[in-house]
Amino acid sequence: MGPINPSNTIVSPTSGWRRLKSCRDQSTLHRVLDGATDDRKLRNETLSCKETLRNCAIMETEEEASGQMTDEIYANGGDGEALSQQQQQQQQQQRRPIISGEQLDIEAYAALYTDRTKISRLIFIADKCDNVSMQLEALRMAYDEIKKGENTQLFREVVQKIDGRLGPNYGPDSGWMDAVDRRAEQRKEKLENELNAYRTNLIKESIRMGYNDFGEFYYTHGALGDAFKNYVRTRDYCTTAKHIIHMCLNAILVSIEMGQFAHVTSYVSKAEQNKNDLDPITIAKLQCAAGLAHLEAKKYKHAARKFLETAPELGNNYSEVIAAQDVATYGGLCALASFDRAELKAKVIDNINFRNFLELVPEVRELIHDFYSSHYASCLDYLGNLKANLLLDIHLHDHVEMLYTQIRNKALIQYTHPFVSVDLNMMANAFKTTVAGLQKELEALITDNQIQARIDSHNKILYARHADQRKATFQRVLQTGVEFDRDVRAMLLRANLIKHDYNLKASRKI
Amino acid sequence: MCACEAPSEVGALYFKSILTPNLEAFSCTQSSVLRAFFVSAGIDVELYIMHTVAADRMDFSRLTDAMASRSFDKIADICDQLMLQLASQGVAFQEEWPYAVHLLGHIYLNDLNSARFLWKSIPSSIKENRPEVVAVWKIGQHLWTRNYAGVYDSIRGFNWSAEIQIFIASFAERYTKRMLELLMSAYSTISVQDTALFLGMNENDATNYVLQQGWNVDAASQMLTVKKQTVVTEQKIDPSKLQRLTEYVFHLEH
Amino acid sequence: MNLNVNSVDSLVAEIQGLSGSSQDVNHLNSLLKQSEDVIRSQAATFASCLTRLDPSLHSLGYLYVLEACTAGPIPEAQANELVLSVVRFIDMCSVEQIRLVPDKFISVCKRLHEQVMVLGAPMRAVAPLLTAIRKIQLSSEHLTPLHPDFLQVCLSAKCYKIGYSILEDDVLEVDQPRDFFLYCYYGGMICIGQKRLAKALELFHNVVTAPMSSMNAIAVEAYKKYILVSLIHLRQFSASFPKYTSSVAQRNLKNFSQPYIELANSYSTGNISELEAFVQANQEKFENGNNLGLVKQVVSSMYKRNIQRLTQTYLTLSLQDIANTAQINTPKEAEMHVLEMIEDGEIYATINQKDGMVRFLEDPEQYKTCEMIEHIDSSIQRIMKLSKKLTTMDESMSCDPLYLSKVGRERQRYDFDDFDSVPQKFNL
Repeated sequence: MGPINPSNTIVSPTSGWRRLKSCRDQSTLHRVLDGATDDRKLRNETLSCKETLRNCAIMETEEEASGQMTDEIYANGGDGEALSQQQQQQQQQQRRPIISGEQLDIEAYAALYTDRTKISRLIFIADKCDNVSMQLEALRMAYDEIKKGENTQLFREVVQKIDGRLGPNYGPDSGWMDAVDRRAEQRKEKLENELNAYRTNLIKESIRMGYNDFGEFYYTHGALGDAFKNYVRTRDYCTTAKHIIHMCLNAILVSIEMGQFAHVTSYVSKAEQNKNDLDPITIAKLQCAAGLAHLEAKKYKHAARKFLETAPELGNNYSEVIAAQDVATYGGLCALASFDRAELKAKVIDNINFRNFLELVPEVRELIHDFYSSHYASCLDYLGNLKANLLLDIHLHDHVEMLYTQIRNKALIQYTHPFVSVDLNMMANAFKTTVAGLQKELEALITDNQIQARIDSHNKILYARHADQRKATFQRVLQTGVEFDRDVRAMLLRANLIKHDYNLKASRKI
Repeated sequence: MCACEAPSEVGALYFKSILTPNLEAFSCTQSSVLRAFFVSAGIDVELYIMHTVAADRMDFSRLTDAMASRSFDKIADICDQLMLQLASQGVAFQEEWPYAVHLLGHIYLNDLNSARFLWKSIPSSIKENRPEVVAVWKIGQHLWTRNYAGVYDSIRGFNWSAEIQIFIASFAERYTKRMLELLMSAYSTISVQDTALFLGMNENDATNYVLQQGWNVDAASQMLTVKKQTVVTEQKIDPSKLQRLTEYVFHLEH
Repeated sequence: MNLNVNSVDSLVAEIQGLSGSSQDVNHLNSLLKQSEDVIRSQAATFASCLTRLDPSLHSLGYLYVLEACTAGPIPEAQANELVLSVVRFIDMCSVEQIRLVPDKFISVCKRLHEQVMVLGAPMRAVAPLLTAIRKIQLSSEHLTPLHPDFLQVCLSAKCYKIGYSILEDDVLEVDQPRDFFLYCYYGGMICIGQKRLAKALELFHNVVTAPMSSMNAIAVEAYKKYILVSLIHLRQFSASFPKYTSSVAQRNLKNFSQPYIELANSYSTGNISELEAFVQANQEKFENGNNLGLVKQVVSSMYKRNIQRLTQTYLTLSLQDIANTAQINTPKEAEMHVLEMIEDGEIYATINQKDGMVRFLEDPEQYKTCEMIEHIDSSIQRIMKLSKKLTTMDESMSCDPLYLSKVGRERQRYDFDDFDSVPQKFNL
């Protein structure tokens, strides 16, 4: 079951706009969405829908006002226009999604994931957050989740972390552990016998299954290295493309859990070689895995592209690794940090597939649109609100700072781009900083040649620096002349020295 | 000129008559009289004569001429050449060398590097015994460290000998002009006090001086507003140059 | 026919008789060459010849005898006389005649250099050595073995200005790599003294990137100075070598100049106190390398570097902010730094004392004055001339059988492009 059926929800802002026109009041709109069953989902979708409406409004305004962009951006630094005020009020009333500025709803968050990643993510939250009640909440859920499985090693770890703080029900349940371990021992023995039998019979498919079972066995018991080895061992016994893809997916899963993203990349490409046998869901999974690997390698642009290309078929089919919400968040932030305006428009804003993901995390969608329509204050607000929760994300944690810096820099650059002059006071307001702080940021960007402008620190105005083509050409010509002159002379000299050296050798030979 | 007071002997006059007046000519002379003289006299005699010639004939006529005609910009070159000539002839010129004038010659051209190296090559006995040389170098030092006001102090702080007085005055005038140009290019507003320091005048004189240049003074804040100089540059171009540049372009395009 | 060297008289007569036409002089040269050993072995006897020969008319014969006389050890008492006679000879000798035996002329001049140093009067050799270079060199592009000697006496005698005059020639022809290395090294030092840092950089760069098969001390010292001058002049230093640098240099130079590389790293952070601390800690090393003066200049250039960076970023900035950013103590000091840079033409700015602000301006050059056109035109001319030279060299090289056979043999071993600059066999 996918969280959203694309055909049911609003597909594009313009069509949404049209639809809004046809159904005038909110209740009609709600009826449109009545198909939804899940409570949370309904809430989300309603929200999404409203957001989309707002979105349409922005788009419309943008089109109308594109000629007055300059004024609008300027105004943004000040009180803001009526529209954005309205928007903000609206947002404050309506925002209640999973990843939001509010404290993380751990339960809702954990519900997005299954399997080992659910536990890892809970433990990660417990490790990273300062709030003790949240910590214990995360650990409690991790404890419960582990109890459903057979990973006693992880169990011990969590028990140690809980350290008795959750009462006797969350203690080191040695009875359970012994039982699980005993069963595991037996199971392992059985698997070994089976595998040996298969091997003596030399039945390829059975051997593959045998190794696969072993992989699964180790995986559920937390021996990731052994799991990986066994999954990979099936490779020699794969007879169809499907088998290979299966093997790759298993290897990827384990590698992600181990944090071995180099393996992820290589098994993704191995799987992708079997193009014809990939179903849409698998393609989406592979894209997510590749995206994660790029993210980990700080290749944000590549990561963004992978997440943006992920098809909505992904749904919650890959909950053992990633949720659809993550695709929106990771993809959106990476895109903001690394794309230029044109690419952002083409690959994010106009990307119908990706819009489905964005609907799941309205904040991210909003901040992307705010960014694109130059409402930086609001965009930075969203980012600020999201930060605490993003820092609790197992994959994003290490990259939040860098992504934020890059997004902020992009915003600063984009803000200054269309102007001949910018009032630093206004700009500082727009970016929620002091003039002195802004000046430092701009200084760094100008030094880095990312903004072509000069700061009038006396009047606190930034002036665009329009390159004097003629002058620059003259300068370059003269400079090139000097360099050429110097280099040719040096070359002739070196040639002469080599000649001398060569003659010397020649004369020695004679 | 101090150097012209070098003791003259009767012999010196004799040699003066054979040799062309300046030493440069001497060095590359092809004069058969001299050659014949040296050849017939033999190397020892020759060496001896060269000693006498050199010792007595530190010929400063070009230098005195330049000083007399106030061609101060030529002083440094003349001194440099003369010094090297004398040195190559093995003359112990140091004691009588007009170091003060030589140093000032470099300073006048703002060639502080040369002034500094000349100062370094002066024997310490001379530095100790000739305060005027030290005083000139003091000016150079202030220029070197960009102690703009210190330059004027060191000019005023020494009782210059008659030989060098005019040269010093000329330098001071030139320096004031240079400072005015610097102020015009580097400042949009500047305090009266600083202006006076840069120009080496008292505040009243300095204010009057720059007012003549079209500056404005704000009496309340004692700030001067600088009037920028409009530089007129020759824009006319020789047609042949234009022709050649056109040819380059033609060549590149075809 | 053999030269009659039985007596001073006969030798003098021979020389005097054969110093007329160039044919005679050539003949005399071959005769003298045969008798070289005799003259040398009895140098003391033949010395008296000199009094009877005219250095300007009988330059060749005079040179043979003079060279023989100066070949042996020279008693200190005679040093002065020797210097005087060599100086006189250099001044008067005939260019055509001495060029027949350049080696002898050069060795006499080297003796002169040596003796003035013994006498502690390097200035005595400055003018004569310059004359000697001009007389012996075939063109101003030709580096003579006397170039390093001349530059060295200029350095010792503190005659930097005249030393610099010879560095303005474009040297393109080199006979001895060692001469070239020394020429560049001493030349670089002269340029530093004259504050011609771009030229100094070029000269040191030539040493560092010169083809060499083993490390030499000159290259190491040049590399150290190259780093320092690069920091002072360009306010940065790139540690990577151009690809044509010899592999020996690429492998070893950095190891030999570790404190200097670290200095450059520290410089690039823009933090003055850090740089000062580093210099303090390594003072002894820099002092031992005789580079402390330059290192101090590096430190003070840091202020300029920091101010210069501000001009890229700001249109106006308060003196206080400049002081803060460039790590200068007071706004007044900052003002003096800015003023100094304006005076030196390093930045374009006006100081507004009333508001305590500095306004940074663009380069006012409009590129439309006559001088500028003149300048551009002369640059084009120069470059055209250089290009022609390059083409000529390339052509003569690609026709040279020796070169071609070498390329043919070694094509597998080398990238063809690398051998672009392997020239023809040099015909002496």
